[in-house]
Amino acid sequence: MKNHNENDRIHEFESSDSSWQAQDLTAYVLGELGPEAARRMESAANENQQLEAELAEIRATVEALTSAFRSEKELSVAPSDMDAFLTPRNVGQASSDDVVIEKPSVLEKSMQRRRPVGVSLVGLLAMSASLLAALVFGYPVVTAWLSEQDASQLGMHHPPTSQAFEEADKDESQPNLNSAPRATREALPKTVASVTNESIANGSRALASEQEMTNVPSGPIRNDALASGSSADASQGRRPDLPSSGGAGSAVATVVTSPGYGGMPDGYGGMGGMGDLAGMSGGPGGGYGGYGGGGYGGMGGGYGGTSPEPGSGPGGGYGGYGGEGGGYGGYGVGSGYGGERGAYGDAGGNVGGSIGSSGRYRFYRDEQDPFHPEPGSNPVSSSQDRFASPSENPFIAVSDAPLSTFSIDVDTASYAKCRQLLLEQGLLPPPAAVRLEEFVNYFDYQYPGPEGGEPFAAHLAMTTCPWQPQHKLVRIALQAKQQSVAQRDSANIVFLLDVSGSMNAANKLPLVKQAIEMLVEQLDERDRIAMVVYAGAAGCVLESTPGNMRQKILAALDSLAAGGSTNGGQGIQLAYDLAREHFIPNGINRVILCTDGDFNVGVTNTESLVRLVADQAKSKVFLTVLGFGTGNTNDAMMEEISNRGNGVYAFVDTWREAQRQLVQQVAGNLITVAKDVKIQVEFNPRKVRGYRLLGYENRVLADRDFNDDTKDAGEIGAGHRVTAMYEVIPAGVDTNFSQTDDLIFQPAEKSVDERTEKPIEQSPDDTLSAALLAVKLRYKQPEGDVSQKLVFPLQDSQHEYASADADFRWAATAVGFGMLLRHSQYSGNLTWDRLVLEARSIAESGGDQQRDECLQMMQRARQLMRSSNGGYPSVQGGY
Amino acid sequence: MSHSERNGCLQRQPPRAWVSQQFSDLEVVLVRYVARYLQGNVEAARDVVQDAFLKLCEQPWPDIEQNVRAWLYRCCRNAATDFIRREVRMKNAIRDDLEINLQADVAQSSPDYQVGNREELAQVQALIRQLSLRQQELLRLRLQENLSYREIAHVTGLTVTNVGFQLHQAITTLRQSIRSGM
Repeated sequence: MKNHNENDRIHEFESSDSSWQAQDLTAYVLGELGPEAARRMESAANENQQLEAELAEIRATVEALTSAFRSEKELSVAPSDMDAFLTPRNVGQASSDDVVIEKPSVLEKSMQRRRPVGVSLVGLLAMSASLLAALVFGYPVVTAWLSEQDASQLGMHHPPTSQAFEEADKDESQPNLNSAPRATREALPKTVASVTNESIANGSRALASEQEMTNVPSGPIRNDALASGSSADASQGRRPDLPSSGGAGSAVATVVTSPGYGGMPDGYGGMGGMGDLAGMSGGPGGGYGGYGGGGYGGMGGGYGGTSPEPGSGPGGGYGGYGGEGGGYGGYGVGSGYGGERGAYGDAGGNVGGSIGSSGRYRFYRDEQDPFHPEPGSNPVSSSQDRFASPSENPFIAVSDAPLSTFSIDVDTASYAKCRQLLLEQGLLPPPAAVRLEEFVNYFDYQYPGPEGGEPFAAHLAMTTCPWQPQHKLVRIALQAKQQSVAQRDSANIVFLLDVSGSMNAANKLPLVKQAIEMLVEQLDERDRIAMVVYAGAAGCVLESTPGNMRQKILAALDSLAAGGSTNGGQGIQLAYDLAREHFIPNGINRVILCTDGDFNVGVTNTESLVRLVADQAKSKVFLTVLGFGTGNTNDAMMEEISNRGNGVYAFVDTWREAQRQLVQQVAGNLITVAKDVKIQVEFNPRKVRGYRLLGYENRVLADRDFNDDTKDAGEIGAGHRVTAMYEVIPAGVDTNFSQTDDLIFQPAEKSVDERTEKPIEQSPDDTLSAALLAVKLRYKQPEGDVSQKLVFPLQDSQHEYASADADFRWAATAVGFGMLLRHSQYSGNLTWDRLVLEARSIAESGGDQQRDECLQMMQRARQLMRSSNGGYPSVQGGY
Repeated sequence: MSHSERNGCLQRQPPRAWVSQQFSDLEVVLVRYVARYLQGNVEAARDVVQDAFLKLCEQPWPDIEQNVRAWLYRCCRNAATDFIRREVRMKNAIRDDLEINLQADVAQSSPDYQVGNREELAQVQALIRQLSLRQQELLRLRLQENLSYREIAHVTGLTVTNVGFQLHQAITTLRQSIRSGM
């Protein structure tokens, strides 16, 4: 949504003369002036002190207002399940009597609203041409056609703003303000980064469900991104290892198609082909044309066709949006309707998804927006799962998949976000924002470090499962070795922090704090850190302090709060003074400026700031500018500052990025003790019937990637620890969980090490064959390219949960907390009361601040959950 | 009705994935927004918002795509207004209630705000309530819901110019009050 918002806000209000209307000042402060007008406003203010003062006052008022609004207690609103009310029967009911093939007049009418008639006809013709081409030749032809279409559209100057708004603009008489709707396309490049993650997540979600779809008995269903925005992306826009084939080239006999959309206005590029997804003698297969070019990537695929055969209903899917153009990439949805029985299942569309003008296709399975998790690619997954509902890992039968593979890089943003919501805002976190692995890994556990030369130790343990007594709970814990005296340069770091009111957003100041916390963990007595804030008046909140005095540093960090307006000039002077005072020859001397787009330091201050930075760079104190938040409109300025300051400018939108920028850049990569760390757990089918990985939904790797050294995975730093948990159904326990029947041709005992192809049972090692499971770890040395493998078996045991150590129980409790927040269907007999009771007993015996705080969160959540009065039902398959 | 028939006409309706995306992006903020209108009645607000999403599914695609946010806000706002009319609630009553809520809110707001500037915030909130309801709404749409002038115009039916003017008036009034009074 931010994207729309930003696009809309960049429209221009140009003043016809140099004298500013009073409301222009307000518009400027509210960010409603176009870039050109804003620049002129700035230079005008530069010369006119009165104007500048005026602006400052408006700014202060707006910030006061924003704070006042923000301080209102928000109503507790938990997200509901769209599918609960938006069933397939509801959707489209009103028009369900429409004929299959749209009457041209209807379509034409709808297209006329967007563009002249002639164009719409061209679009239609072109559409059917491409369709035919797609059907006969497959997608390459379509894309060839598309590139022509793109070219022909370049001549159309039809801005992609919405019709309604354009009309509104025409109606308005604006004496001094010209509204020039040149918006969207220019704004898009800026939004690409933020869109990327989301669309990737969508794409992969669709992907997962596509795999399910192969089992749905509703006839052949093909989901293909037939087209993409431009020819350059056709092949890249498709995920190469997808099982689906290109185009609608195969399995189509007779096709009646209804028209899709083609020839989008300028800004949308070409169109996608239409998917015929028909059955053997399929009926109509609709399809969306793709958006390509300017904003939206090409979208292909189509709604599925039908088959006249009773019982095998239409199946189909939207192809993904994909293709070049840097807008959305990789929406993919599909729907299959199971014929007369009315069964409904979602099949993933294929995924386009090349992002950005480079058109390079990226599909990071393990790099996703933390708040848009995807379901794991596990083969067993409820057909009720919806593409948009990040599901939980389900139970998986060992006979189906004895291997479970995932990457260990874990952040804790989810926990921090939930904490902020619960404790500071009194809100229940949306279930999708709760990630079990992040809950578990937020806490400190006392695991012994490795002995000998290995970079980390693994500690396996199991007990009965506290919420499902028939099941077992297995903990896999890794503890990386503590780095000995690192041979890195000493660091002298001064943080210059913008704490103005606008920084008061979850992705700004709290993220800044987290980032600094992470950095502080890497510092020691050789290093110095100082903090300067600016907001209203600049001040030093932490004088230069040795890096090992963490309490002092963290206390200063804790005391930071956003509020007030901004005055950066003094702050930067102060920061450089501090940096010079404690200058470390041959060390890292750096000022790190953390700010958001609202660098409202006042016009003259901006100028002097740039000058100041340029001067200071000569003193070998370097500058890093970290931009936080979204909707940053001051890119150019920040870029300039960092350039003049011999520095780097980076935009930080996630925890992961913060870590990358601060820890890896500043502290260097010496903290990494191993990289590309992957875990593969192999379950012994004679001991285990099924298992469920708790969390790590979007860290799941394909089993074959474990031994593929070219597949990236997480890094592990000195002293890091990672905990993963499995809920295991022991052999002999009769729980009905599997969605598939027992395999006929696979003896349950069979299990092979996939690299040696040698069945594990043949191993002479008795301890291994009697083990419940074996944890295999692969990692590379920080500078290495070839991975090493470690194997740790876990013996079956009968330990009771109650007898486990506090760390184990706390990890289980953290998982339980997450499951209850997610309304997990797997939470068994766990209740809020039991959870709080258990957490309290552990926290009271341990005396750990983090755990105390978590207990508070649980109590708050319990309270909110009750007050929301069961406002939304527990959702099958997770939220 | 058969499913195949539906397939045909679904082509000019928004794809489900897209609706779903909008839903997960906007549902909570919309419910909050409507609930504020409805004196904190979250359940009624939820109904209003769900209705809006059902209507969204019937909108012509892809025309609806570009201004979906403003469209949803407007749809919800209209429905909320209808709801209030149905419930025969007078605007004054809302205003009083809102006032009480707001005062209670200050006391309950997060500690960060309580420490330094609770007094100041209460003053600002009092000043906000002295503005016309129209201006209050515009301020909320701009600063609380983060809508652009253009989107606000779409939601409220005012022109963009008028939105800009009214917001300017509101902020100027507040500015003067703050300058003289605080």
